[in-house]
Amino acid sequence: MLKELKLNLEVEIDGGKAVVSCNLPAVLGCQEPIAEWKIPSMRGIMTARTKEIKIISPSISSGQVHVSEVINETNRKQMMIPSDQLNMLVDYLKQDVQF
Amino acid sequence: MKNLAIFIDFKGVELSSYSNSLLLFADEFFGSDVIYHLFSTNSPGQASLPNLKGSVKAYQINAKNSLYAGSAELACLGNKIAEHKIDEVWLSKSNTSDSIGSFISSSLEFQIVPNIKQITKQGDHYVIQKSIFSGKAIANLEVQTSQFVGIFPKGFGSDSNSNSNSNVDVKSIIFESLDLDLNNAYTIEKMETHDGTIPLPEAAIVVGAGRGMKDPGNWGIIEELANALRAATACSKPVSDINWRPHHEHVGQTGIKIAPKLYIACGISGAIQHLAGVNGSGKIVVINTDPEAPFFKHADYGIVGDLFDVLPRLTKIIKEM
Repeated sequence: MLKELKLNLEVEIDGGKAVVSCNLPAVLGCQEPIAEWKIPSMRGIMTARTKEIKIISPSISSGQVHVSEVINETNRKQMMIPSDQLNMLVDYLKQDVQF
Repeated sequence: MKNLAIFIDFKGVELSSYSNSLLLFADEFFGSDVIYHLFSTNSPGQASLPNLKGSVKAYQINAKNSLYAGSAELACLGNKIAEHKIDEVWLSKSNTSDSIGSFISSSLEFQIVPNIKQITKQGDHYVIQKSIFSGKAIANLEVQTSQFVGIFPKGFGSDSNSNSNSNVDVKSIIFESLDLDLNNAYTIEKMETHDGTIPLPEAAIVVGAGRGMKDPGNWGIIEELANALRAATACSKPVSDINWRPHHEHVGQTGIKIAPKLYIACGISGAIQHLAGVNGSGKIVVINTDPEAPFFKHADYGIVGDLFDVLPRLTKIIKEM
């Protein structure tokens, strides 16, 4: 909310939220519901396919070397447990998670 | 001798579990060949910390009435880091670590690597595995071992620390006061914290629920199961969008990304955007009435059944343990 050239903002912090005020100029990073994610239109998707992508080198010389990328596939057990045998689930979880 | 800065947090007078894990990991990683510069915004002034092999200097950042993520405070912090000839900065992932890490990286021209899953030393460089594309893939990097900012997920190192859960040798450390100039900061008018609840990013067990709960008034059975397991509660995006649950519980690609030891998903179909937020979980249990729900293909254990029948029985069994 803009009030006499001063911004009043609600900010998410670790474990809660804060109401803060600051003077302009300011750079704001927004999240939902201000920055709402949109599904692209079919026309937009088709236009993007032929759009030229300019590749720009970073201004700071990077000390990072990308060696490789691999797909992170976690193999899940996919074990189905009958809903009347919840003790079985708890036994498995005791072994796996030790709660 | 390496000068390593680590940002640490306290819960009351106790060091947070994730800061403790990161310190113990650094201790095993570097041995005695390091000077630690520990920065905190909420230290109790004097605190018991793990007895690290390297020497320790600790600083309490005093940025009164600020979240210390404003430009003036960050500029001042950057100067302090340059002044202490810091080679590396390690942070645990949080709302403020991104801004601090980015600022140090851009102002001091340090390399920044977020989402670190694994780090090893090889000669004069680090070999790092980092999570990319919302955890869908892992990038392997080689990074120089100086002028480096690393952002680690909360709880990093807790698995590899041989003594993190046992009796760790501790030492009392006094924090030197570090006053930051506040010429252009913003002012906190009000702060609201979710007292009494387990923060989602730090929870070892999370119970999540979706539109299958049918009504926000039905969340009692989720909270009861979460209480029995000492777990945090989470929700899917549609649920937070229609204000059934608060936004800070939204887990997924555009919400919080979690990596607990156990995630129990109740009445969540398993949209790919939700999976992106939970695929770092150790074990996943899915409970859903629909046997065709896609989440079952990404679960370790699946139960096809009515939530309102299954959850109270599951809670009862856990309470009786």
